[in-house]
Amino acid sequence: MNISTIINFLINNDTIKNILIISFLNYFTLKLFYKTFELKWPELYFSTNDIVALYVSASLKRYIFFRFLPFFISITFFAGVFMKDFATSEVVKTTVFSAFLYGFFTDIKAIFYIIKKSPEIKTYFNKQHQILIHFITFLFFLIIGYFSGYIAKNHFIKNIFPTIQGLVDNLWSSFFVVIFLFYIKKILSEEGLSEDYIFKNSLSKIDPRILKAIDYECKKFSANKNLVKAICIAENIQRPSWFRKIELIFGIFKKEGTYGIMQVKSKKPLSDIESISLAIEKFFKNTANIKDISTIKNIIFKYNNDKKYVEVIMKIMNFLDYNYSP
Amino acid sequence: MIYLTNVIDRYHRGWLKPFSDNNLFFLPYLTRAERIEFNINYEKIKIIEGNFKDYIIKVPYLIKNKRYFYSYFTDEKIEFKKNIIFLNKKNKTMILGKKIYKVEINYDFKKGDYLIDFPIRKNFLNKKYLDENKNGSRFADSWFPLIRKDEFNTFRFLHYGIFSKGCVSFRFDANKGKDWSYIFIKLMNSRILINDNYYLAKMVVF
Repeated sequence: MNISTIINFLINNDTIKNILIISFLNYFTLKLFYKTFELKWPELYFSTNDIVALYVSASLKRYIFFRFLPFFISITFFAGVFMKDFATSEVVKTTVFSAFLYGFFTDIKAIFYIIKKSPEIKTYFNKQHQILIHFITFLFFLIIGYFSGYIAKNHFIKNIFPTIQGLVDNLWSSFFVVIFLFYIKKILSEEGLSEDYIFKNSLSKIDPRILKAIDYECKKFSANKNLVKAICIAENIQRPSWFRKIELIFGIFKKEGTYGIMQVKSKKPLSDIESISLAIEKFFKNTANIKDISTIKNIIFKYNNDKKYVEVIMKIMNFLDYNYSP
Repeated sequence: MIYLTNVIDRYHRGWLKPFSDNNLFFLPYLTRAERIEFNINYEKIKIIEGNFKDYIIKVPYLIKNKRYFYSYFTDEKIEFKKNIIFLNKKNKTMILGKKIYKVEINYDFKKGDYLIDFPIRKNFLNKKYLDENKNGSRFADSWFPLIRKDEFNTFRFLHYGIFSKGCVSFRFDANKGKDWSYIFIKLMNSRILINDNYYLAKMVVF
């Protein structure tokens, strides 16, 4: 089979043609969308490698809004416009394959980069977590792709979308995109995409009982309260409460692992409060009066030997108290 | 007795906004109060010092979920110190503890003793003074009134930012923001009792 035969096959096969058109338009639109946030693929998502990703990861709601909603709207829109006259099964096939291609070139590519330790991707801390999130995101893309095929063929939705000619003739789509971008950007920048907001947001999502436990245990073991709080804030960004609950469920079968908000190693599942007690006793006792920044950095490094992690914790400590300049 | 402690992060910048329609009503760090009652939605407190002394107000929680809450205040006793600021008018230097700082001061600023009162929160402050990446301080909007026994002029402050007439200005471009943060914390940790009223510290201008 020579190249011209392959090209002829591709041109004459409606399914493949549609997949290529929808995939290209979807990928291009989303690329433009994310470009407004000055983000690069596949370096971000939940991987917390920059401010926006941190901001998004601090909230499940934002993660869904930022990662899935644009994808869902884009793929439904293009399938609805370009495949108006196709059978539902054909549209679903196209949207699933387009979702697969999109996920492959973003999340699967990111997983590949992480495993290969490629400089193309900035890993933060906890690679397994990062890989898992990319994988889950990829699976969700496939699910969304499947459903958006049906939604695009829904009678009501089908009538909302313009015809191809209509799309060319007027600025409906551009108007839609502008409004959509404006809306999403407004949601995401309500209080500015600042690190401080991310830290404050993470703190506000920590269970009050955890903070009371920190007060109690820090007093008992003469530990640095800001240091422990900073670690909680960071871990809560990286592994929000809903994620830790899933870990606890897996822990019933797996037993040994890192558990709780402090992510301490244990042979049995630990609650957030148990992880606080264990971490303070093991790593942070008698640190309350240490003011020297390099000594504090060494303590953090012993807890998690990752320079980036130390940097993040110092930033959060500085957020909590001006004395701890990173 | 309870003490307002959980407000020195860069988000709160030393202040707590109680439930109040008054936009200027803010409580500064380490304000002393008495807890009257509390429930899941708020704490009712009586302020016992500062600009809103004797007010009974409701304050929010730092963190609250459906059943639990974490207060801005602590019950742990805070030991306050007595501090004096010495201000050399001629050299335009200010001494607090073992540190010396450069300040701007008007030539007609009278020598003598001043009382440093609880700070007010300055609105409409230039944002750059608050930016710690650009030599600002998170506490830059805290202005400390300077009170003289023989005068009623209360428009005299110790503050951070640019020079302003009649004030002792801790200049933004001549000092480090971290130094102002240190001064803020030091003054808020300080108390003196004069005629049944608490002030933060004394300032001696010579």
